[in-house]
Amino acid sequence: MIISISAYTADMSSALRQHWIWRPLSHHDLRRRFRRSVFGVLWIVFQQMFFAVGAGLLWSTLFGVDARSFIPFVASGLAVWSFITGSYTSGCSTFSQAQVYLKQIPVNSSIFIYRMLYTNLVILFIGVLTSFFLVSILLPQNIGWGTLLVLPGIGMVAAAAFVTTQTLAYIGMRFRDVQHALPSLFQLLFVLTPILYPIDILRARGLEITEFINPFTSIIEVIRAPLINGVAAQWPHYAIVIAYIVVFQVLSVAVHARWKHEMPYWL
Amino acid sequence: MKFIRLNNVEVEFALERSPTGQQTILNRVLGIHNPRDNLKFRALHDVNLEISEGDRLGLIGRNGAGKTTLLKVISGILPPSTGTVNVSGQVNALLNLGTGMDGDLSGYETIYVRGSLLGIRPKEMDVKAEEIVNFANIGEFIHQPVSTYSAGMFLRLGFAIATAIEPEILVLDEVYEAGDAAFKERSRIRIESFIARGNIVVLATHSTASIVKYCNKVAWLEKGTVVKFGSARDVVPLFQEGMGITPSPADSFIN
Repeated sequence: MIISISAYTADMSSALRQHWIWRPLSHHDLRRRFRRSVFGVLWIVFQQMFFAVGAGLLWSTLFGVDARSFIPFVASGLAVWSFITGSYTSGCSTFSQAQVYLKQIPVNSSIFIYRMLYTNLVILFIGVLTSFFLVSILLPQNIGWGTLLVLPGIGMVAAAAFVTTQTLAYIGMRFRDVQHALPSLFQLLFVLTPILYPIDILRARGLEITEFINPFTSIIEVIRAPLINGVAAQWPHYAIVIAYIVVFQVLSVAVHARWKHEMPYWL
Repeated sequence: MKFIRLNNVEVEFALERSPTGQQTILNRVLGIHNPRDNLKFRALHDVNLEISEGDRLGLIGRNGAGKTTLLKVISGILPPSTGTVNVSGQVNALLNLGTGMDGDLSGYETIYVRGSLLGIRPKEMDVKAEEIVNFANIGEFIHQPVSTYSAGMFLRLGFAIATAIEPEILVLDEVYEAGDAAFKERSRIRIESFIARGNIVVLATHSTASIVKYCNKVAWLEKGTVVKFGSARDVVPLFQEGMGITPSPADSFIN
């Protein structure tokens, strides 16, 4: 037990120190995604704005809420949602996407976990900045000192994604069905998570309990609440995210101990 | 001190259960045991090798004898199923090239990505990149995606990158023999200068001429086992005899 924790820590920290390897890999991943397009990475901004403004206008009339506050709500919720679910789905392909290198070059496979996480983090930052831009136009009165609480929120969400990516990297590689099952799960969860409808709707219907049983809601809230309202999220959300991180940290140590050595045989 | 020590190395692959690796869930639910479910393939069996500084080890054997698997074990790409691998020295490997690059990246980007994976630090990278470009000598194509490269260009770029920082242990699969005469000559000079500085070279090849030229030790593999290990002088003739090959004139400078 103690041996696997120290092996895990040694492995993950040595891979972290090799940032000069995984950072350029991430840059190439991003550049490749937008190769030959005129706007490049700006497409991330466009897509998010387009959806947030369109859906925000439509849904705000449906739910009878103010579009000015609903558009940033959709934009920020969506940014965090795509980040966290992306760390599940892209986590599954961490090693298979790197097999070009893993089959050829003697290198610590864990650097590819950081590569995946870093690529996703860059996209999250762009999404959060875009949302902040929308807030500054539509809800400038909400920006204040409380907005700074976004930063610990991002830190917690990044930590959650870090342990998720590690865990799914091994599970997705060992059980190839997982990556096919996840999209259907997330399709359902997307409807169950307040991204396209305000949390108040749940509260108004007496369903506030559902607000605190879906960890994805909490993961979104710790960034979204300070970002659009300039206030901290409700405290149970922080507790839930921390619990999530602890659970997945334990899982990630376990899968690392069990499968790190065997992984090259599955490539 | 550079060395490679392999003790009782075994490599066992689980074989796919069906052509697509599926079809077992129903069997599992129904409790049907297909004897093929636990089919294993032993790629290496009881391999023991000791290679020290300045040695040039040649691996010979038929297709599928386990040469490439052994190269992967030595280079640390594939940990053995059981047994121990002790390698002291920085290893660079040049294994099958076709799959070794990301087709979307340009040759230049490939240099940076693969170069850093091989341990070239960012601050040395620009200088090294220029050396690699010069050695690979593929002209304007260096800025094109590697998916557009010919086999020869792949090879030249791959070889140039793998040998850009002088590895203490250079692991080469037979691929490097695909180059044209001019490239072969340049790669020969580079390999020989590595050898001259006491680095270890491990080479898998079908060409006994290359073995004779470069290697002092030879391991002859047969179905994953080392059937003969010794000096090139002793093992190569036995191998040729076993394979029914008449020695070619190129082999004559073994004496």
